[in-house]
Amino acid sequence: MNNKKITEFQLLAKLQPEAFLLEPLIIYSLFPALARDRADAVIEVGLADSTERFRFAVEAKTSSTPMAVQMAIAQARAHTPDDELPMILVPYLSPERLDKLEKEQVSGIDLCGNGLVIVPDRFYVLRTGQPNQYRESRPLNNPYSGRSSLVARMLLVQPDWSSLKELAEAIREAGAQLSLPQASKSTKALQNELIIAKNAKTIKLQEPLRLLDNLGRAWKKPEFRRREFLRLSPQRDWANALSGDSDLRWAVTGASSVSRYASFSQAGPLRIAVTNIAAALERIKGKAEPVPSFADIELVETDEPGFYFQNESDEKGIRWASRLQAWIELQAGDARQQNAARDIRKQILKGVEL
Amino acid sequence: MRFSSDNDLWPHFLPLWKQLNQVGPNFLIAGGYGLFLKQRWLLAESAQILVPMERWHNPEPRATKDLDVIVELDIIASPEHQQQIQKILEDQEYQVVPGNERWQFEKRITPGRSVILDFHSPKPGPEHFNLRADGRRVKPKPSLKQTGIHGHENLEAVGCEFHPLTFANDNVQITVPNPVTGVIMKMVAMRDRLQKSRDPKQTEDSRRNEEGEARKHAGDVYRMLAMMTRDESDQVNEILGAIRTTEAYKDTCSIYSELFVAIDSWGPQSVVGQWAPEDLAQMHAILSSWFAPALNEVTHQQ
Repeated sequence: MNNKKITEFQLLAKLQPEAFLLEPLIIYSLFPALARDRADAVIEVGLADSTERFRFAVEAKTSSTPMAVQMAIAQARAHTPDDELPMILVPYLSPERLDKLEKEQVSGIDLCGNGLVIVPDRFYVLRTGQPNQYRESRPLNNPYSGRSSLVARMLLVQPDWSSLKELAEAIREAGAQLSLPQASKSTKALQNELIIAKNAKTIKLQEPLRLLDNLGRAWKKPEFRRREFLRLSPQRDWANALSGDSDLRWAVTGASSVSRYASFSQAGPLRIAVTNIAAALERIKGKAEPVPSFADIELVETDEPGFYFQNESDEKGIRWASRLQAWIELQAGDARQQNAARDIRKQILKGVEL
Repeated sequence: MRFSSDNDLWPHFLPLWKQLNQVGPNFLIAGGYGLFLKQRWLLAESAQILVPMERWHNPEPRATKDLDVIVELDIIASPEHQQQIQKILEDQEYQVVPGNERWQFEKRITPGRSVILDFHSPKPGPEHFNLRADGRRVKPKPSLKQTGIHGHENLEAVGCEFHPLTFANDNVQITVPNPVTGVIMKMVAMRDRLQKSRDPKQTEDSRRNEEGEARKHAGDVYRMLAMMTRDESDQVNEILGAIRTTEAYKDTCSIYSELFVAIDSWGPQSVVGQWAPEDLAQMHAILSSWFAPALNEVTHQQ
């Protein structure tokens, strides 16, 4: 694995005369770009047993993010005269990026052995499946999990924002602290993935479907620090008891909130996420239940911010998980839960229809 | 001959049961049919049970041709009640099964099809001076000759007098034993079948059949646990406290130790795939809480 940032010079060094571009295609000639309005290089390519040659204008980019690939495609097109074909060169081309190239009818190669070379009506060469040897350190580890995911979650409720500050403020109002620099890193990562479009004034969600899928994929069932099953006396107002402690964060989990969003009977105790189980037990005054299925509530101790974000309170003061949190948990659950998740997914996407 | 569906048994069970309940309220329907009736009730009601039925991998009730009825000892001892039961059995056309006189009866429905009716009873204590028990059957003293019923002496019906569950199916009151007694009966039946399946004197077919029956009983153990209601669960400690010193309970602890103690032992393995792992783990933990503490006490005493 090579984590070192690669330079454009190193990238272009792949293009050597008499070397394979992408087997069985051979580079026969290399012409470095001389003008600023030209591609980074021009190559002549052909098959070993043929005298026929094809010229490609190559646009090189040292990043392989979706946004970098998209920019490279646009620039390659712009810098390619009529008698040449556009090609991009990046450190790594994932299968998704290769699909994108095929749709755009632009050739592309990487340094890992993947690539697509298209000469319309003559040939089509595709090589894929080689692992990425040039992983980039992102500005943010993962914009889909933990605190970093709060920007993504907010965008799935409101897809357009007039400023980053406004977005960060809304996240704070929805129950989480996220600094402006943290929010900025998160939006940058989403921008690199082409999930949002961002300029000096606006942030706009472009691919809600992909954002939702990525959030679902990134969700890992939290390992709770502690769990307690409790039987409560009838009429016990546990929600107000918990809310009496201003230092305690709590909310019903997504899986236990499902009946608010889909027709689904979730058996078993109501699962409540809390940040401090000892404090919650002190306030709630329940009796330990040895058989989990017969408990009234289950307390789980966790700091996972998604549980306490965008909660909805009802008239009894119960803080329910957001529709999105319900979906995230259910889509990772059993077959019945996944079925309910499909309904909730439709509701979420309907809310951010573009 | 097995019925294709347990509903086939209902028209034969219903009139018998109604009449027996006129004799006294303390008849319990045990065994596979008791399980079936409880399951049918649960499907109609929304009682909170250990494993909600929508999570069962195989919610189809298993077929049975047998009716297992637990009879209170006072009924067997009462000549008056015995006269009434005799009349009911005659009315319903039940005949004594030779060899198992007066505790097993058979009703022929069509040629080749019959219902087997077994009467079970717990072992009588010394206070039951008007009963005789010979290890196989419990009968009235003095003998009523060819009248009434005996109880098939069933040590494992221990605790059946505690907290039976009564519910209504088609407006008929049904009473089944508490889950501790039910599980003990099933575990003993399972062990007995398993022992036969390992008996080299048996034919291969017979051994295979016995093992199949043992697996069915093991399956019933878990079904009983899965269908345990919250109220039944709350009563478990009282029942265990009352039966903890009995032979049947200690015997069941030995069965648990031999065949259920580890999640990969014979009992749990015979139902693996029929339950979600977390549900099986919860049922396993409950069996352990019922039968492992006594096991530990016995070990410590030794």
